[in-house]
Amino acid sequence: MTAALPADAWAAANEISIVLLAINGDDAAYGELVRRRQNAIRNLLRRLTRDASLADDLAQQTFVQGWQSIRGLKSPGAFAGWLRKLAVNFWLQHARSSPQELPLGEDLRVEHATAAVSRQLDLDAALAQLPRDVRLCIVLAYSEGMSHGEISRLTAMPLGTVKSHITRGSARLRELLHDYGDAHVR
Amino acid sequence: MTTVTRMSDEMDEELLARFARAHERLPDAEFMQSLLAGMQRARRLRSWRRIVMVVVVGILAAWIMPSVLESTAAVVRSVAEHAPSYDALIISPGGWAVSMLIGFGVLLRAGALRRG
Repeated sequence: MTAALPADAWAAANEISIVLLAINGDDAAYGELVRRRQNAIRNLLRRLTRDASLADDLAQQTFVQGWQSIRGLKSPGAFAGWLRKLAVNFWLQHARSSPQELPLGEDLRVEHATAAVSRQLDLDAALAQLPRDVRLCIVLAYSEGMSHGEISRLTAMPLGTVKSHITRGSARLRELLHDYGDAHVR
Repeated sequence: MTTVTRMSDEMDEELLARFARAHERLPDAEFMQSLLAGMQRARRLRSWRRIVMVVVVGILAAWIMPSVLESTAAVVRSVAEHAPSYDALIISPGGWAVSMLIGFGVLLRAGALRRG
């Protein structure tokens, strides 16, 4: 029984072994996987939602769904990507049930923003002004370090669309951050 | 800590740095507690679903079993009446070999002989 393992033992164990234990129904092992991955998944969802509370709700759903379906995971090495896909799917499901956002090119212009907002605008706020699919591609590329091909496979968007979203989205993001006087991006 | 480990496509370095800076270390105690409660709820729900499923299957089985048994008996009687020589075929060495092959095929199709 692995539940009695001390925290040090869990921390030292490699992830593939822990995933294998979790696949075989060890809840303590899955708990350790959650501890290791929760920060990345919550950050990913925060970039996508710009709402910490919603991001945490979606992260909870992701981990519960992961726990229920981990037995179906074929390759233990694919755990991180599999979990990320679950998170993205939960976000997409949520986003589809929300009102459609502004299309690229028609997003909020800088001059329309209030002075208070313009000073406080951060990366998440700028991201929130990108259309859903563009934001997804940008976040997966810049925050998760995924290649265009990997994003195309994960989102089921054509590779050309992913490339175009990233090129145009990056330009728009830079423009938004510049125009809002972000000191970090010049 | 940033999650960016690999980048095979051309990316904007400044945006990359901006994303890396935005990656926060989030407090996990409350999140883990809430998640464990969620898993507990899901576990209870799953147990209830299993119990309901077993009860439903039991009721269905009890309900259809008499007619299944009756139909099976009718088929067996009919086969015995119309093809009385089959029993001799089945117990012959050839019939035995064919039965083994059919059984092997069924096991293969069911995946029972696959490793892992």
